[in-house]
Amino acid sequence: MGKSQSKLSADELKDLQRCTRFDKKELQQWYKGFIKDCPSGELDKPEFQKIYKQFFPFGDPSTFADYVFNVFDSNKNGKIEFKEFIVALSVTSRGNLEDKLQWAFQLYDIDNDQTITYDEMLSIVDAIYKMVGTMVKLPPDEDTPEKRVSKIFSLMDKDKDGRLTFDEFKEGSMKDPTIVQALSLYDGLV
Amino acid sequence: MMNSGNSLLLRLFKSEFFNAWIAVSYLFKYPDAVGIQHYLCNELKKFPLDEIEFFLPQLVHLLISRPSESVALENFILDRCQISSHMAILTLWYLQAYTSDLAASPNTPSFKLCKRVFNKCQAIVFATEAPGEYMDIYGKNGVPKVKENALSAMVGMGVMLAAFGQPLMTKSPGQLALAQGRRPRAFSQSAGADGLDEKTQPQPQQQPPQQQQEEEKGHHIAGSIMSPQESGRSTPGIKDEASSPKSIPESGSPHATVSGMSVATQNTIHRNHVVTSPSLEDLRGGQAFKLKRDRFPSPRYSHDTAPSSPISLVYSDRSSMDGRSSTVSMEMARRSYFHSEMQFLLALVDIATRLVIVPKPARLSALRAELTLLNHNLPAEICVPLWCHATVEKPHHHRVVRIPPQDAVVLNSADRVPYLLQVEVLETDMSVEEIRAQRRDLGEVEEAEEGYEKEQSPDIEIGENGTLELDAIAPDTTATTTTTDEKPKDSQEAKDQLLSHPPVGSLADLTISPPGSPVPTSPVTTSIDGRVRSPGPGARPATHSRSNEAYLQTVLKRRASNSADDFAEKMRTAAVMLAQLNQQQNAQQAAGANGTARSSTQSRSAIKAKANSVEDIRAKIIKEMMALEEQRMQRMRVEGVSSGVGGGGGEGAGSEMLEDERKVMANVATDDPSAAVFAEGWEEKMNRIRATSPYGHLPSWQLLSVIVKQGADLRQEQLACQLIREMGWIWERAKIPVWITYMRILVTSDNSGLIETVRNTISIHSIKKDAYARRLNEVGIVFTLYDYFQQKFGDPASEKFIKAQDNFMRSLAAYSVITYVLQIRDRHNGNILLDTEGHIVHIDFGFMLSNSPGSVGFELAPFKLPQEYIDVLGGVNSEKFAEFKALLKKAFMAVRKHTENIVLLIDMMSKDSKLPCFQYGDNAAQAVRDRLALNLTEPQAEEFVEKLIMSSCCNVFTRLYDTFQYYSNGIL
Repeated sequence: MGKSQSKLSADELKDLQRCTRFDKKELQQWYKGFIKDCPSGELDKPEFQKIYKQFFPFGDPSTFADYVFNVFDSNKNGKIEFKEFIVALSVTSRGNLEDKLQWAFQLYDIDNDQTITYDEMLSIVDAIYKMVGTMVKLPPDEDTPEKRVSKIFSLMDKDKDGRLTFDEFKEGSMKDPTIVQALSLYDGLV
Repeated sequence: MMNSGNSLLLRLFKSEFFNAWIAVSYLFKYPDAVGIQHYLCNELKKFPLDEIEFFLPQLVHLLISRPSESVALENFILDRCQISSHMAILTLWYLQAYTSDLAASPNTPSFKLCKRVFNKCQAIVFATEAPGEYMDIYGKNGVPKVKENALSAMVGMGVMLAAFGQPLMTKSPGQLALAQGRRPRAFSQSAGADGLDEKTQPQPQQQPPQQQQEEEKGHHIAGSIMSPQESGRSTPGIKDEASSPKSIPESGSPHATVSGMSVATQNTIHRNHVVTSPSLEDLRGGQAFKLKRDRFPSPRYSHDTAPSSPISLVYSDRSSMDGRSSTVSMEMARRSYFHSEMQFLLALVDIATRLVIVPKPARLSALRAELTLLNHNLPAEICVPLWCHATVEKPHHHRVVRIPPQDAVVLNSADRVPYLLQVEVLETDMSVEEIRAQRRDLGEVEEAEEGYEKEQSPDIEIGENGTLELDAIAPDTTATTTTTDEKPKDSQEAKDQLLSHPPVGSLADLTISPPGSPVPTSPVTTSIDGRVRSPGPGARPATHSRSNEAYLQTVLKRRASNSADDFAEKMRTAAVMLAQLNQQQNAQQAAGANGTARSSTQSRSAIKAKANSVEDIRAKIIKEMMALEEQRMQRMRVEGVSSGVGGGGGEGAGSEMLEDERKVMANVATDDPSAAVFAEGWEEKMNRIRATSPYGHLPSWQLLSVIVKQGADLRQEQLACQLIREMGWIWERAKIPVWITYMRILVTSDNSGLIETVRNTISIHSIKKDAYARRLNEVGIVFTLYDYFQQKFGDPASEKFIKAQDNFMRSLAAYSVITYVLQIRDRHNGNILLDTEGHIVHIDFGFMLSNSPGSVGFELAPFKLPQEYIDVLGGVNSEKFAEFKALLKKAFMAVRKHTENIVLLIDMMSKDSKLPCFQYGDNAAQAVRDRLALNLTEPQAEEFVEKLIMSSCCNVFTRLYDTFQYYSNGIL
């Protein structure tokens, strides 16, 4: 499915229906949209960064975009294909909270060892702060990436081992309504 | 850091210098930068609406001429339209103009965008669903769903990933991703608007497809649901007084909304089956101003390429039946307000269209007839945008209460018929009924006015053309009765032949308010005869139901009455018929031309015969009109003006008014609008009209004076006035004591609009013409402006003269800079006015920036500074002239300092512009910079200005241009 074609084949549809919560019509529509936006049928890192720069003109989103890219690129071939995109969209718009958290956990668990270290968290948070820049006014105890990461760990790292397991990650997220709210961005809208 | 440039930008945006101008200029600089567009549009929401309104022409042009990835600007403009009714109407009209501009290329992104935004804007104005947008576009809580935009979805998902790291940072990027995600996709099924593409694309200029198209449109809208949330995620309605619920009970009869509803619903059913061309039946049935296509009554208006007929107002059946009565009635109020308002303004424009076909001598009468009938529908909850002071914070719209017909004047131009009229408004919150209740009886006032009129009627000789019939009328008074009986029959014959409709009196029910309007219809019809009948408001309940019975009665009454209104109706009917005849003929010709190949000789001769009969009818109608006119003039002589047109308010009496009529006619004959305005000072005129107006005693009474134009694109005039206004601000801020004025210009389409008149002015051409006509100078000696100043303001040493001279100097300094910087051309004396205080005022900006009249650059001087101006200032060696030079220099330097303020407005408008001023020369904005000599140092620049002045002094080309104008156009 690497190259561009105007419609999804029956086989591809069947496969996608299996791994997403979209019906045939929706899949075809989104496929058309995807091809229109990336005519080659796939996106590489520089292209992906460019999109983020459009949306975050006042900061530097390149690092964060790369981390996000890695989450999308589940087969790790350095490209985002339609299937990877639509699977992610299915999770984010129609999955339940746990699905979404599972998906989000991958971003922070950079080395994929099922735990998030302080440093991993700092890398991501730092990238977020760089991306958004000074656009948002933050409370004093969160106005630097370091403060924010310390706060996260003091609230969520129950066993104080300097690492967040998925359970700690999940529990901490569910307790914070702003996180839950942010994770529901696409609920009912796709 | 990679984005250091942009973070500097953010610092600028967050600095104390940030203002609407900076926001607009960066919107322009980064049209494709999605994030910046969204940021700036969000910031712009914090600025007052009048600042946004100032930039509206530029913003709309930017939106349409540069379709971009970003939806920020589109959303911003529509959001402002939600908040301000004025903004919504202005925007709708701009978009309509762009729709016509782009009609030739319907497949361009610009046209598609224009169409889409137009539909959305229309949906806001009339609270209908945008065509093609169905319920399934809404997700939870009525929030619109996203469409298949993969890129913004990838950003949105990334933002969700960031939620854990810092949820506070995800809110606005998340909303941005959603907003961009809603961007319609051409292929998308849910983007139904695009599904209409095929159908709304321009059809070959024949009627049937257009009809069909309209019907389709009707289906779509009727089938849609007026949902409370369609107008924006969280704003249920407009936050304007227009929708304020209290306006309903105030202005409507108790069950107005309820009954209005059902009427509306019935009309929908009717509506979907009416044909496109406006019939007399519509006019007769009082439907003339109620339904969409009547705003575009003649074929030239119905852009078959327009996304939909300009303002479709189709009432959704379902919406009136379900239970959301409060929302619905609120919507009704708002809708009817918009509807009436747009109808009113477009009705004014339509009159100008019809007048074109009316023979010249009858135009004034026809105009007044039209206005007399229009008047019967006033007062109404109508304001004139741009003139109305209502804001979001102080939403007090004025109300148009009356248009004095006898103060309207036809301005004969080459092939168009603009006209000047006065509009009486009340700056009040009163409902129409309250206003009516306060209407005063003018019994005694008439007397007072008589004396007043006597004093001031000057003896002006009657012009040679245009007023012929004034002289032609034989003082035979007996003819009156017989002719009145004859003529209607004639007209009936003609009409029966033509349309087989019962004629005359059919306009009785003419009313501006749409069905379901809070403005009750019965008082309107009651006052139709000009004089309120005994039953008073609320009587004739039959008209509520619009039963045929009621019509018949009204019509019968009309027939019986032999009043001024009767005349007005006949005259108008004739004008409408004439217009229709023309329209039919054009259609036939077009059809004939299309079918020539196939048509046999037989059918061609048939067409010919038809054409002949049409000619006969036309001749008959014109004859009829002339006879009517003659008859009216005669009757006025006998019975006084109140028996002629314009007796609507019962004002005016006797021969003095006829004198007034003559006076106006004489002015019309000069073909010079300013003469008519000037002949009577503004204060005088206002006082006179106020004294004779049934609403004049009300404290909030005000008078507006506007010229209605049809057949002219006013967007360039508007740009010029905007630029003059901007320069005026620059000078004001720099405290440079120059003087300027600018006109408000309301663009209603690409070929119509309203222009404010400049009060108390006369053109220099008229000054001279009048002087020669009255032989104020000796034969062979030129009458100069200096002579006029002496004549008007007295001895050059007198205080009065010195004051006027000073005024002249301050305005001349400003307009010299303006005409130079903007390269305003065609500066003959017909385009330069002088006000009663000595200020000079430039008008008519058809030639500026890159275009100029004629091929030869006659006007080579930097600006116009002929000897006579210098004489007024006291000669080149005078102190006043030195002061003038110093002031001009200062004014120039100030504009130079703020060059970019001017340049931005021009630059933003120039891309893909249809305006003539951008048709030559690649870069109008750069040319402005060049003229301001930005490369020079300050002392060098001052020297440069000195040279400009010297080369303007008595410039031989200026003189040549005036001479040229004299020989070619008779302008002195």
